[in-house]
Amino acid sequence: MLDQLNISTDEEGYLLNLEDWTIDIANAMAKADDCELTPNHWEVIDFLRGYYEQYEIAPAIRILTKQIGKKLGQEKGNSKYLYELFPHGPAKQACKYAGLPKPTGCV
Amino acid sequence: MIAALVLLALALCLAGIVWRVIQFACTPQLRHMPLTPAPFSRRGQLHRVVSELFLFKTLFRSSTWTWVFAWLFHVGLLWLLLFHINLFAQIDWAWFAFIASEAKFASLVTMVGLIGLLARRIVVPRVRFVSAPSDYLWLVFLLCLVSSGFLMRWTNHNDLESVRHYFLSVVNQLQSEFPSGWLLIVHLLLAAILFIVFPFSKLLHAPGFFFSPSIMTRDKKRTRIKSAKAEGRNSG
Amino acid sequence: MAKSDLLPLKIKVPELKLGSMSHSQPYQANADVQTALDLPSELIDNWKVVALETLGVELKQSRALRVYLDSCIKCGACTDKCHYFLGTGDPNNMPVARQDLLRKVYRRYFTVAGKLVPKLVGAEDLTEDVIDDWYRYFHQCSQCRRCASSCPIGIDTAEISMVGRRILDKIGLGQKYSNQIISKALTKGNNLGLPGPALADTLEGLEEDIVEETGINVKLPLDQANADILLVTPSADFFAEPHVDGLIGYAKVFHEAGLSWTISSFASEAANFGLFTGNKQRLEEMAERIVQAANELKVRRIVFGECGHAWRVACNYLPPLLEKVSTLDRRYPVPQHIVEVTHQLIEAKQITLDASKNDHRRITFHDSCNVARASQLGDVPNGQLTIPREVLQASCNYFFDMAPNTTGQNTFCCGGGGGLLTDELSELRTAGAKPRMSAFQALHKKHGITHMAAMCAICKSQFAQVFPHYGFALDQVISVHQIVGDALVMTKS
Ligand code: SF4
Ligand code: SF4
Repeated sequence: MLDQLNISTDEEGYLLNLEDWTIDIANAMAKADDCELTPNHWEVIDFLRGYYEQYEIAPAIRILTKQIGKKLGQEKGNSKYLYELFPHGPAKQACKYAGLPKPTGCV
Repeated sequence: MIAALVLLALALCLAGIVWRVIQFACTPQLRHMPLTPAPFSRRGQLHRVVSELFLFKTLFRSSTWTWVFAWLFHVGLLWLLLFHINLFAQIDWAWFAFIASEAKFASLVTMVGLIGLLARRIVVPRVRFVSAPSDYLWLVFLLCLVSSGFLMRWTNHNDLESVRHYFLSVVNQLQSEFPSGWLLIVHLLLAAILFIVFPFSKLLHAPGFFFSPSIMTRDKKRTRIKSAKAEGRNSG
Repeated sequence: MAKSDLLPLKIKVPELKLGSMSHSQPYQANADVQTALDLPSELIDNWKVVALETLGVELKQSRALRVYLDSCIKCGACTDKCHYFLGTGDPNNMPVARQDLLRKVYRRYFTVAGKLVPKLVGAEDLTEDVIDDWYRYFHQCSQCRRCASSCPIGIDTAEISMVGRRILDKIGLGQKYSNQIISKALTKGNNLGLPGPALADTLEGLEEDIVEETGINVKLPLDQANADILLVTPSADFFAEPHVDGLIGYAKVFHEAGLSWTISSFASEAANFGLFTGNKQRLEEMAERIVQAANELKVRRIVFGECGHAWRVACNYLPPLLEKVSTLDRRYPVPQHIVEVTHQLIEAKQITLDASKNDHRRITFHDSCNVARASQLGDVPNGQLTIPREVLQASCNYFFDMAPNTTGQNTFCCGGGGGLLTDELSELRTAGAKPRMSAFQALHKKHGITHMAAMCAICKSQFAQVFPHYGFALDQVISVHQIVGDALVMTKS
């Protein structure tokens, strides 16, 4: 499915061009990781994309959890919940589906 | 002939050591890179160097069996060195003569150390993995050299007086007679080989010790000077 | 230093499994990353010439390298000291074997014996196979110096792997993770590539959080000229967990002690990956950014946040560069570490800690390799080992040390240092964490330890990732300053 979409990614599967991103790509990427995107996943992905547009970087985990808490309820506003959604780490896995580059650094 | 060879080899050896020391000394160490925790004081540094040099403290901590054999070997070696110095220089301090006299015992200690090191090199797979042929060869070579000396003393192969006499006459360019004995020939030939190859081999690790930044660098305190400028600013 | 009540940990030395990690290597840097650093982006045609030339130049410039390559006696004392060997059993991960990858080439081209009798002394021609091994195994060394502190001659494999990576960089085989980070730090001011506005937004968000939690207006100032203190901290402190709680801890301490401080958006990074790749030029450029920020903001003190190798760079490279900053108050050490600052404030009774606030935690401390073996704290030789422990013991009632052969000078690396904290090296990182994890498990069994405190961004991220593999939760690693911050009695509004 991913190959059929004919997109260019780096070795780790992150999009090389942000503009290439479509909802289908996100779904296909998730599927390749055995993950089904629910509305809660989308909440995260949409926020990441919006934040990136404004600041040219993915938000810090703290900012993300606060936002998700506001949107989905306090009990979900923590990194534990985010790890449930994105077991490979919210920063990395969610950024990938959102078409953002991988966060670098000591994280 | 043989004496001349040995002496020439010895000269080459010393030159090689000096060359190596100069090479180390002339290579700059641009970066301050102490291996910490490192002493700040000169005194602490002296203590560190002495305990490394004479007691191999780090080796004791990190590999006790290697330490046992390495330490025996080096103590034996030092002892043998004293013996050989005494042989020719005839220093007449009683204590010196005393330590320098027991060559048999010194060779035994050295050989125990060497055999232990060789055994470890063969038996422990990790050490075997990192050993090059020369690493075994050196141990075997040194064993031959030391045991030839040991056998000479053990069997009273030839008397020390005549060996001394022979060497001194060569040095003074006098007519001399080679004291007979095949063991002596073997011993001297091996010694000559050792002297020639020594500066090019890993056996010359002592200068490395003295130039190793990890061991020789003291830690230094970060600046904390009272500068007039800072003072002025603080009061102002 | 707190004494451990444990016996030395029995460390299991694995059987040799030749080649068991030969598949492990980091991604190569692509053309964009390499050109940004003026490096070739694929193996150049005359790689052999350039490789040997580079080695020759390094040999002339570094006594350490020359001595280390010349003086190994193959005693084997270091062979069971590397956490990557202990975790993987690949003999090329034994420190001396790792050195030999470079040494055999050095011998072949630079020594008499290697030129005359290469086979005898283990000298080898430089071939593409050798280069491949360099790329693999110099990227399986976290440059932690545990081997150096077990070697009778002090031979430091970290130096050798730095030179090895430098050569690889020069012939076009750069490591993606480190070089990407270096180029971001040089353009954006930090490893994450976090631009100024995003940083401002992040810090504001944290201020809100603190008010919400404590009711107190703790500030996290950005680019505030004439502040007393410039805080230089790893950018992970802004971004990741548990790091960010450490940053909040620093802010609380500064607030409570009434110190004026600021972060710089121009030099918003303490970490310096130039150290890892042996790239002195880039290392200095990044360090210069701190100097420039200090000058522009006219600060009196420079304080580093919790980052291991950054502190090494700060102790060993930065002081001469900081001579250029005229506003610094030289009555304080230049630079200083946040743990030192807190320690002094505690001793001077300028802040009060209520250790019982941490009574729900049973804490141990992981010495970061670059702090324990490559830096200093305070002005006594053991300060980097004692001071963090004293700070922790003042902040909590249940502190326990792990087995003595795994702490202090003998500490094990977390397994993610030296530019290896990247996902494609996960297998190596998990295996390399094994010795530290065994020590932690043993302590956990005896004392029901709940948290491991660390003062290095890499350690924190690495443990957060590997803890689940060893039966712990990722939030069981915690910043030293989170513990301090939680215990701090806040009296100022
Ligand atoms: S401990 Fe030092 S001298 Fe011994 S094998 Fe290792 S690096 Fe070589
Ligand atoms: S520096 Fe650390 S990681 Fe590198 S070889 Fe030595 S012990 Fe292993």
